Amino acid sequence: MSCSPQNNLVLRIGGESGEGVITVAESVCRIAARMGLYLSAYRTFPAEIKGGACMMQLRVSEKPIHHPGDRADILVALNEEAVRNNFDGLREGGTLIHEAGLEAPIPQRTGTRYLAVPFQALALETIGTLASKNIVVLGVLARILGLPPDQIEALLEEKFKKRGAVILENNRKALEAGLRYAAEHFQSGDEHRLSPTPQTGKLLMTGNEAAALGSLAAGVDCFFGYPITPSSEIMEYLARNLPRAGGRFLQTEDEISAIAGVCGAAWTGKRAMTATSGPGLSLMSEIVGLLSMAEVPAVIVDSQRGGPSTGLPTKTEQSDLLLAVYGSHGEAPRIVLAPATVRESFDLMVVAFDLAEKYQMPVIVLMDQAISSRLESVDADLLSGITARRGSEQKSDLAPERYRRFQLTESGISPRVFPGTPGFEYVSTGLEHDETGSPEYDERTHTILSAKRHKKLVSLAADPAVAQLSSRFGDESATLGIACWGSTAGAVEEAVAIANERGIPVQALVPKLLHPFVQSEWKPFLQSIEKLLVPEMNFTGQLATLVRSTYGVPTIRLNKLKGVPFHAQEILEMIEREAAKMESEMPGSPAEAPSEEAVRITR
Amino acid sequence: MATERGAAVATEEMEITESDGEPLSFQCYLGSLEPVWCPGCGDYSVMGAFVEAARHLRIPTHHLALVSGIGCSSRFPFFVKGYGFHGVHGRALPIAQGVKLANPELTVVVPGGDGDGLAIGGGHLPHVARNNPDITYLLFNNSIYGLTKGQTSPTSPHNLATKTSPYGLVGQSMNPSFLALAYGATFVARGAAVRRDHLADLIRQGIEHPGFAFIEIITSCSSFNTKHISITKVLQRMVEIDEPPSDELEAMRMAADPHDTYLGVFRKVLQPTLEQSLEKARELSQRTGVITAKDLLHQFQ
Repeated sequence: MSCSPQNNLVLRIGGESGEGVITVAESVCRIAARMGLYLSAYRTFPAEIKGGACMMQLRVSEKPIHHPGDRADILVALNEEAVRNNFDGLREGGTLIHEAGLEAPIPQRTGTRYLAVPFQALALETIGTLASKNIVVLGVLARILGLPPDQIEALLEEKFKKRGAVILENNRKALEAGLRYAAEHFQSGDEHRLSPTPQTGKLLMTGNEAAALGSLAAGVDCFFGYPITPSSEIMEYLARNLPRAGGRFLQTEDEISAIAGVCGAAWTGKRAMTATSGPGLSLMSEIVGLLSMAEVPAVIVDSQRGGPSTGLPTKTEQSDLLLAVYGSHGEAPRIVLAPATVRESFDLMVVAFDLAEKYQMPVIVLMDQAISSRLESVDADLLSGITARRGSEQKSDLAPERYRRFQLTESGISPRVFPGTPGFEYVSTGLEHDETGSPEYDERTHTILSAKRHKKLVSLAADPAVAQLSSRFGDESATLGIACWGSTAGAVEEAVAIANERGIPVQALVPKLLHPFVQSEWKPFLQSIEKLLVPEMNFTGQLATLVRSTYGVPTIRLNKLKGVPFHAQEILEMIEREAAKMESEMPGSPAEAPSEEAVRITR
Repeated sequence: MATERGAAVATEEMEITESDGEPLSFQCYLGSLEPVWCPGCGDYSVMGAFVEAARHLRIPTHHLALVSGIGCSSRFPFFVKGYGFHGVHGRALPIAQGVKLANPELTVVVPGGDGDGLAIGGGHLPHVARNNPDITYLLFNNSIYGLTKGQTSPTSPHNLATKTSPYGLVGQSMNPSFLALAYGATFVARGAAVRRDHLADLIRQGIEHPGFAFIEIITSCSSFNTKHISITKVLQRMVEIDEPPSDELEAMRMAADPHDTYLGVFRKVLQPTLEQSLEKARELSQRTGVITAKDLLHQFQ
């Protein structure tokens, strides 16, 4: 990918988990955001607590970006494994900064700039321990990137002041050692300077933080959860902050108890949620059906990871879509949303609570590890215009003796009265029931009440609240289209922009409401294209399956199953290949429906 | 299935909410459906004892939240007037915990069987017990699966022959009260369906107890458990406890006694309830003031 020298940087730092790689990368992110630059950063974790390889890649730009970049301009490798794992991720002509004196030979490539730095020795010389080695790395990077000294000083104080004067002073020395070494040994051509822009005041947060903050903004009253990677930060953030906002938080004994707690709390009229990952959603599936049957609102965040079973607990995947849409026995209508950016991880939580309450059913918000841990800059206005839209939960106009909790209505939505209200006592049940809530198993009731519950999805798909959720970009006259969801959208957005620049007509649709599909976003899109590409981080093509079964259109799938997100380059190659095929099929030959094929990235 | 109950409910009487005064009428607490239990089922007596306790405590029906799972006794919320949540098998306790946590004003009562509470839902009991929400759990112990027509339950005796244990039950029988004591429930009692007034008093004490009240109720299944637990046999072995023993180990010994069936309160201690603990956490968290999402934005600058 092309790279202008200024304010456009992809930096990757790799090392051993626990040696401060993430701290360094986050510090660079924080300072760049304060300099008024946009950021998108991605990190991987080992499944182990101590040790194991970890890396963080960050991308800086003057324009909003939702993709952490393909190959790095600068790679910092703190050990041999980090060189081995990440060298292919360094672009042609990029810079490798590595720990000096590694035993294994460093791979040689023409055009690559090599800078060996004795990080370890510098840390030991300066303060006698390796505790601040990462701050030596930060010092070296500060010099190369031209980070403003006052910003770094401020950041060090924020990080270390509360840990005592000695630790702060040691880290200052470590920073100085890094800066000095770089000044003495590097040449001016080694620099890749970032310069401040006037667009300051941005916020920097992860997808998990955005989702947690979004649920607070939506007025969540109760959270129940069980820790699970990669969603635990949502739970931890709310454990700390929900009580401060007046809500209640409970860690339960398992995910079944968590969703049961959500069910009980939501039944009383409170806004309740849980956050989990695939294994947890599997356990919750039975109660998802109960929530649907008893028409109780609930918000469930699933930050997807590699599956099935324990799978790849710390890696990303988009393989819970069909579970989210269909999981639970019987036919249990629910709503499925998927944010494509960190900002949307915030916005869609507000939407999720509103929709859950209005349509009285569970809402599953599908994130994935890549978006949960993605660090992105977000405009500071994210709270403006948020007002929680409470559903039709208030007391029915009907007299208590005529109240029917599951009354048949035009929209399928029945008047909801909360327990504690005198005169309206009713029972909610997972059994099939009549309008009053009494168990009833006759043929008529089951047909009518099933239709009533499903009718709410029809009403939802026509709701103005969901009309503007999707995003569509690229050349709208293009007959080559891409549909994608969740964290894949950032790479697609970038690939489409590059393809359009190169004169290849292609457009894309990113639905945020994945169930039910909104006709007004899908129909015009599908009508305008001839060929549909669906890239997904799963093996079977789950969005492609839904699109084919809903609209009967053929799809061309691109499935990546590596535990890491798509590169824009991978999407771009697919676009170029399919566009070329379309061109060769064009002249005079009868239009052939593209045969379905699963193209898997093997590189 | 169930027939609608014809009798009008005395709604005006329910307007009275002061807890002191004459007991409310029995009819106040009758739900919209007639019970569907088999003739001779012990559940009728338990329902009678519950209503007796509720009318003496003058609990307004709209403050009642009856939360249950699946099983014969779990149909209880349909037959008693109040707000009811009849959910899935085994999850009544964590749902009830969510109800109480979200709205502490409600009087939350969980009726359920030994299969619902100790087999499929057995993993929740220790945790709800240690959280100590102010809810009352009525564990109907009839030692058999009635709704599914006569399979073994966790409290069925070893070697019992049933449809699913034709050569004799392999596992040993669980002792619900003993478990509840071990799990640290702050109120543990055992009653029997055949002693309705005694049971009504235990349920009243359980509802009044601030915290998790576990009440094991020895009852009988008139259709599928007629052979191995004869009510007369249980009656002969019953010993009433006057006062909860001050010695924890003595309470456990009584609950586990293989010869005598002790009835009464085994433990009654005061510990912070879940609601109080969460309130304390909230106060602690708000020392520097109440926040909204806006107050957190600075963390991301």
